[in-house]
Amino acid sequence: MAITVDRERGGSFIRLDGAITIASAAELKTALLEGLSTGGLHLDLEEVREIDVAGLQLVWAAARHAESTDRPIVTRFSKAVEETARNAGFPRFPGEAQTE
Amino acid sequence: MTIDNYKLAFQEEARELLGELESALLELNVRRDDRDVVGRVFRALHTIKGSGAMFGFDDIAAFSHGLETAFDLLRTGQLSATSDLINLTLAAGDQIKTMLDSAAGNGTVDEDRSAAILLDLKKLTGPLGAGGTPVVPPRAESHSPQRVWRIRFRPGPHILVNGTNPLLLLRELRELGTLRLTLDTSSIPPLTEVDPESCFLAWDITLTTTAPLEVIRDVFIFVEDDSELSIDCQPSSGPATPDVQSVSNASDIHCTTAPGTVSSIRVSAAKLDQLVNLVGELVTVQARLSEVAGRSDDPEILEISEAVDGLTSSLRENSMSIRMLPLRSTFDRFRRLVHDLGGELHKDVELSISGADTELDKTVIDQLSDPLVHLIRNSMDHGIEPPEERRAANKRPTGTIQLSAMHSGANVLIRVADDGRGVNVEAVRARAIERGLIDATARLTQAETLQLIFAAGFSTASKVSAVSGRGVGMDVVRRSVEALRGSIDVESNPGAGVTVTLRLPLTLAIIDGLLVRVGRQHFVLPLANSLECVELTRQDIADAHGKHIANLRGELIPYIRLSEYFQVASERTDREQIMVVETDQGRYGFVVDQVLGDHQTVIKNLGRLYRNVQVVSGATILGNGTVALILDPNRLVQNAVQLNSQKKPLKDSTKKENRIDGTDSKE
Repeated sequence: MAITVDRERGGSFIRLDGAITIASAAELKTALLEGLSTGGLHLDLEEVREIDVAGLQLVWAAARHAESTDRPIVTRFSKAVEETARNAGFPRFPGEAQTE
Repeated sequence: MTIDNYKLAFQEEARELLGELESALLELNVRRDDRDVVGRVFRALHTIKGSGAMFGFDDIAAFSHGLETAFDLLRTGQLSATSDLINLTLAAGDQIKTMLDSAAGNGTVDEDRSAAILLDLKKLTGPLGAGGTPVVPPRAESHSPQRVWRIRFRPGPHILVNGTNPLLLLRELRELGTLRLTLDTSSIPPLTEVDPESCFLAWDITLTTTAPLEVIRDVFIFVEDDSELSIDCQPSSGPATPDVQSVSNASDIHCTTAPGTVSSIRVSAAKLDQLVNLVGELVTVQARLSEVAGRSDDPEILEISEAVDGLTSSLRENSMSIRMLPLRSTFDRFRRLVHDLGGELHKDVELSISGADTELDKTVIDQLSDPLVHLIRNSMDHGIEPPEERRAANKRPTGTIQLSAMHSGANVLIRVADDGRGVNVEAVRARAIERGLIDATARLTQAETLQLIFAAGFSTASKVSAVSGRGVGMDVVRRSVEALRGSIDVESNPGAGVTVTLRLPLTLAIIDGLLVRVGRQHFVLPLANSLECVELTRQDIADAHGKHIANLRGELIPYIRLSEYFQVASERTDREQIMVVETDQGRYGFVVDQVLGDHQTVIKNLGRLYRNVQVVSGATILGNGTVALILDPNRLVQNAVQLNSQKKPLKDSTKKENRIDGTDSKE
């Protein structure tokens, strides 16, 4: 997994690459927490080709955290990630804007 | 645990599964229609495949997938078990073993062979099972009614760390039928508190499928132990299953696995050995403590010493029992050997196993496999005759080899008995004379002659076959058994077979012994053989008229004076003591100066120099630092009887077979 973080005014832009699995879960959690602390979080999973339960849980927790602070995170995601989430039983992708 | 540790654990587990696969296959060979056995084969393959894929052993996973498919067809009755299929699967099991070995850095895998096996398998299964690529399970096509299952699956928190991907399990379920699932995210804690490596997801699943319960359970086979899982059959309200039977079945199909029911753990053998070594040291030190405490008059120290003694003894028993393993796995392996050799030698041989639950120390078991292989090969090649010859001799064309184990005191007897032609004692004798092992005029008993077959390079076979005849095997047997401080007996009935009995000590580490004193020497007798201790007074000796026989409640017990046997200066007090010991030749007494009592005995090897001393099975260090020899009562009696019969002129008509006649030659 590769994490690219761009700090912008009013938030962070985190782009993930490769496989988000248990192997990199700890790293991802730190990145997400840091990103959320900066205000807004944009999470881009467009380049992610694989995600597992550990990864999904973290994104879900981050999304809920963001909702509770009224700053929903915006995520973009790849087909592979979307399919995994759907197969796992997520009604919609965690953090996906409801209006979309 | 790192991923490497998991890989190691997988390899270990896979080897166990291969053993299970093999024994199930051999059982299937006998009972071709037994669905349970087919199920066992299937589950073993399924588990190897699943955990192989999980830990990155993709070659193993792909290979076993083809096999699994074939046995799935068998399970659904679309294919029947044939010798070809069983033999092929046995060969495939071996191939998986080489894959494991090569993954562990030993040897390489012959890819062509893997491909050839899969190809043969495809020929056998026909178009039904195209091995290699995951196929839609044919079970979906079977005619059993569709049922609706409610599955509640709450994976344990550590499931991800253990290498399981719950999403893959869901995918497997999806392959079985129509799946609806409800994800439960309520257990996911806030991001700040999430343990990124734990699993917090849980699922409530509704599965509509024709697959039976066991197929559904198989999906969860790796996670059952650390997950909360319940699978219930539900009468469907919808039109999907208008089948009445499924409704009536609903109540009795229910299985729940409670979380956290781990009943055993894996510990490396080296750690266990270390534990036993430490306990051995403790026992030695404890002996010193009792010695010192016994000499001082301080009751407080004495009390502590006794308490430590009791604890050490329990600790010893406990740690030894951990190392005890049943012989079953070792014995079961020989089914394969007999099966394969039978094919190779064109002989029909049945292996009957008894006493496989007998437990032996792990270190003994590890070294037992080799000698048993040689004995069985020998029986199959030389002992059991070809079917035509057996028919001519009025025997059942199918030969039998009996492999049995039983306890006998502190020993375990392991027997390999065949119903073959037996050993030609005359031929052995002639060959031994020819090779200069014995003198042409030597007078040997049958048992002594038969011992000659264990000499290095000894073989009476006129031709060397691929299986045996080189005369190496029996030498290996003798060396291995001696290394285990055991002994071998051979019994041969011409035309009716050979029985080889290995007598092995239960353990190589620590035993319960009885410490006795003769003069200034100490000896240990194994407590398991010792029956009782009686006094031998001058009057008793006089009553026996100089014979070495004591009267024990009317029973005459011959005895051996250890002081004379070992030529130790003894005190010859008025009252000596006789330890009555059970041996193969009946009860015998050993006369000692004093019986000192129980002694936890840490067995030490005597070293190569004393290898030929048979009456002593080892030595131990006493509390005061001196060395005591551990006696082997069986050998001691045998040896004493032999010495005595050599000493005595043969004309002595009172001499009884196998007994000391009791006359003291000096008197």
